[in-house]
Amino acid sequence: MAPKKSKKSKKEESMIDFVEEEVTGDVDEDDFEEAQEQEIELTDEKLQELLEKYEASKSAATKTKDDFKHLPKSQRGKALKKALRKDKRSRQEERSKIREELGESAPQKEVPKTIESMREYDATMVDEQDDEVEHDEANDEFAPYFNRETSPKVMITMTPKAKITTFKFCFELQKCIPNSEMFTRKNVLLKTIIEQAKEREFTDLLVVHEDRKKPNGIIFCHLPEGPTAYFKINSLTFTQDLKKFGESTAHFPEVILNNFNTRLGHNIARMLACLFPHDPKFTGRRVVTFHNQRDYIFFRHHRYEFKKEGTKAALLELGPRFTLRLKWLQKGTFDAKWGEFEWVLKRHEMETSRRRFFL
Amino acid sequence: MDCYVGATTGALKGALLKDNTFENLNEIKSLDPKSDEITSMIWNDDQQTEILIARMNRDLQLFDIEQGEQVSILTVSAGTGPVKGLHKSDEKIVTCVESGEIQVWNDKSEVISEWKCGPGAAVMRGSNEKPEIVTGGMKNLLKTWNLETGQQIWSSRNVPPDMLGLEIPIMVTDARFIPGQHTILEANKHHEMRLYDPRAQRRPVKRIPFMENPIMCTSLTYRTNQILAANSIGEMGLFDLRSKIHPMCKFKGQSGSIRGIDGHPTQPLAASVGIDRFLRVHDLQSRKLIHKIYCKTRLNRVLLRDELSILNEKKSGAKKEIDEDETDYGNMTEDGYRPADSEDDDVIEEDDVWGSMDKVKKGGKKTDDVEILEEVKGTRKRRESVKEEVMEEEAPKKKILKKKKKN
Amino acid sequence: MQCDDVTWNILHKGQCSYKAWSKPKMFCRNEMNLTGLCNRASCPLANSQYATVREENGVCYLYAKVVERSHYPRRLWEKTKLSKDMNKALEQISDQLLHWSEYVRHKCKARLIRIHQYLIRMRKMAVRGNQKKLIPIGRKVERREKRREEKALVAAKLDHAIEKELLARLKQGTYGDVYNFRQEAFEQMLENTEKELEVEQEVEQDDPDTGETQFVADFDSSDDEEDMEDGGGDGHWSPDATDSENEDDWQPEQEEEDEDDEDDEGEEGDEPMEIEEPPKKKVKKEVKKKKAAAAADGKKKKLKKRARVEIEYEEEVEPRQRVKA
Repeated sequence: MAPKKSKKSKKEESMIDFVEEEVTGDVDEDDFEEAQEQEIELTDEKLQELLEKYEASKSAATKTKDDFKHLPKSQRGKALKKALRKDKRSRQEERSKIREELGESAPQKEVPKTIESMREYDATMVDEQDDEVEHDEANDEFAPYFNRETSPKVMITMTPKAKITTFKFCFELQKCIPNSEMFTRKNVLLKTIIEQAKEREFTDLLVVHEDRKKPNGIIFCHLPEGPTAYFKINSLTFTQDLKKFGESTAHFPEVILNNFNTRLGHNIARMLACLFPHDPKFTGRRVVTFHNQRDYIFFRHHRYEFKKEGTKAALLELGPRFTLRLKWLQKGTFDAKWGEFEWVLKRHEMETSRRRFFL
Repeated sequence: MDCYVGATTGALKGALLKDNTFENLNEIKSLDPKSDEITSMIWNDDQQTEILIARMNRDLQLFDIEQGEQVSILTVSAGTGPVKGLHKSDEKIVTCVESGEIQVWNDKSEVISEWKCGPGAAVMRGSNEKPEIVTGGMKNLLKTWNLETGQQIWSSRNVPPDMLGLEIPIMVTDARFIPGQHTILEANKHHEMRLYDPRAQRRPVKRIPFMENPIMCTSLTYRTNQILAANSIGEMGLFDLRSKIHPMCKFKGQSGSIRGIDGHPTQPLAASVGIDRFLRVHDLQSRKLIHKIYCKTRLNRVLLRDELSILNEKKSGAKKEIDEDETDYGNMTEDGYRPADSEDDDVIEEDDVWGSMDKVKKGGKKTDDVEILEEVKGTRKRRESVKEEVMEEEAPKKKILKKKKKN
Repeated sequence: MQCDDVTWNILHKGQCSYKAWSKPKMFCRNEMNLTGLCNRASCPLANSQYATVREENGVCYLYAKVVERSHYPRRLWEKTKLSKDMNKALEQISDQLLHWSEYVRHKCKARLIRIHQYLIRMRKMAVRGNQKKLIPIGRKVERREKRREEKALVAAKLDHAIEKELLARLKQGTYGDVYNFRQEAFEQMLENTEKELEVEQEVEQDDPDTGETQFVADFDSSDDEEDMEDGGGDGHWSPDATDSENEDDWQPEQEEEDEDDEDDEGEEGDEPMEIEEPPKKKVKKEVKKKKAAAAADGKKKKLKKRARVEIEYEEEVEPRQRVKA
């Protein structure tokens, strides 16, 4: 709390000054007394006054676009923005001053409302310790991976007539994910691919779809009988197109899965974790991140290094950068016609609220 | 407890709609989904005090609601695969496994009779009026069997091949007897529902397409000619069997495949569960979602009790309209999900509705149905008795619809 | 036959609503057209005796039109169902169109063959089980998604989040002994070794090394080690003193490291840099390790370490379990 801190620091400073000056011989008692006086002054009336002032400053009048009619149209927008910002600044300063005066009885600092904080309540948010959820997860399709019975073996493939960019993307994925193999697909049905992959003991299958010569979707199938997820690729930048990038190595990377809160999110997070082998080589200092923000999953691939005794980490980007959005999750291997869907994004029902997210 | 839900992990859950809570009726930690998954559930008796549960390891258990205990009655011995259908008639239990063996068991858990209905059976249901059962499945035509003799009474025939001359494969996912009429409803993976009349022909009498995804399950409702059907994407529709092909309305909410629906016999309510881990109760007349309960695991089957806690609430005045301003969920308001809200506003009270209407003279045409109603034995008596009233009320209001009388 | 030529003249030179203009050939959009081209011989309007083969719902029909029925528009076209067998159907066409013009007969048969070919193809595709579904892309939807994604990206503050997570893992100790600049664990180690040292101290009093000075090469950590040596030489190894000294020790070293690393990162992210970095880091790490070893161990060990140059970088420590999501 700002006022408290300032108060304390003042006191501390004065104390320290006191001590030091005792040693040197000068005592500055004035500061100390002033601080005490200020506290005494705050009577109830003044308190109320200040609080009211505080609230009032929040709803102070601001400029509107009508105030700028004297400017030509092209400059009005900028001027309005500037003025609004200025007003905001002055209001904030006013409030901080009042807060200082109030001292301990200042109202709490306002927290800005973000979309994440205003998110609609979702009953499926996973609690930290939920026995049933844990039991469920201990017995679901990913259990063999998390129990260390299987180690991942990934097959990456694409649509039959894939173009160069898709190839490139698959190649990058192959470099990024250890233990993966890339196959070109020559008019083989997806179902036959799944059967063949099962025979050769693959654990995961990634199929990259493309449209207009650019990859635009990934079908992610976890193999033995696992769920199939279809992600839409929203944006993609290759390694070469990044501003600063480094070369990847073959060490097993660490995986960071951020912000997957709901049951569905948990499922997806476990799916993504299944791609990578269990034991990351910390000496390789490679980290792969899947960060979920408002239903968009951002993929990043970095090399990190700890600096300043482990208080800071420096990141060097390797590998591609892309965003995924989940479109549907199907129970069982890929069977779009006759399969059962665990979750489908139905735009008209689900995208009606801007504060509702599913992952 | 209003609703009993069976989960894929094997947990039996009871849901109380008034409070929007659920509780696990058996211990979770000792469950092993691969062997304990609940594959089939029915009421064991009319009073709905006992539930018969079939698990993945073909163990049949009887769950006593009042005592909260489950007792293992028998283990299905014949055939392979999980139990796909259960039926109870006069103290006899009929089970059907996936490989097609049907067995009839008596009180002492002994097999009275046993026969096969063909491999790949996906569903078996019994009729409450006649001692018959209907079976169907993947590449398994719809057939009816006599319970006492074990003989096949009738078998359906596949529809003619399609435009290209290709045969349409047989993929039955759900089959039901329509009470009061001699028809059987079938739902299959070709996003189509078919009505069969065994007295007339082997091919379907009517074909009702529904969306583009396989239909997973169906249910009867409080009105005789209306049924609910749900598909693998989560779309649930209400259909009228008499005339229309298009669904009367669709119920929104489910985001995953719906695996079980249960319609209340007298109230315009239906409960549906699916693998998105929610139990939803819809109001059929207003098409709104009344309750939504999160039950942490994927759900397989649901049973709705006849006496619901929400119905016992008395309200003043006549029919209550649901505000158009409210959001979709009856237990959700604009501020968000509030599990502990009261649902009094949302339920239409039956007594007021029926009491305020006048009884009309019986029309002459309804003799057949009335006779059948009187012959009813066993479960769902209440449904039939209310049906009489319903039919009488509906006659003057609705247009005269052609009734299919095939004698 | 009577007004065919006239009709054709009018249609061809003037307006025909079925004409579809495209270079080099003109197409005819009339559904009864046999070839689909706009020709004198193919135009169904300009020929009083005409025949076509059409397919409806998988069944092929032969449509024939004669002069005698030209006044009965409703009964103009005679429709005969053709057999599903292609050869029989061809014979049927020959029968029906006996004594008709070669052109029409030939074209009808060709059309029938083509229809059968595409039906076979459709059947093959249907049986194959191709589950491709074309989903249309809405422009507004795309635009909305793009905007929302950008905003989400800004809100995510990815680098920050990744850094935070990595540091949290470091604090938790998931990295084991790979990194040895964890203050708490470091201090704990110190505490652990203090007890050892106190025990050793009694033994060491008679150590001949006590009090001896050595001349060492100008090494990074030379200053620090001298301090520690002094402290050790006094015989009082109080934990506080060592701690503060160590803090001081760390800072100058850190600063050096930081400067170097900043230089490194200033360079372009090319392969050569990468190769350079690990060896540099190795050196640094080794230095740090040395320091840690030196501080933790007794004076004796420290002396030993100084002499040798150990590279303990690639220590395969048992990695602790990753924090599961």
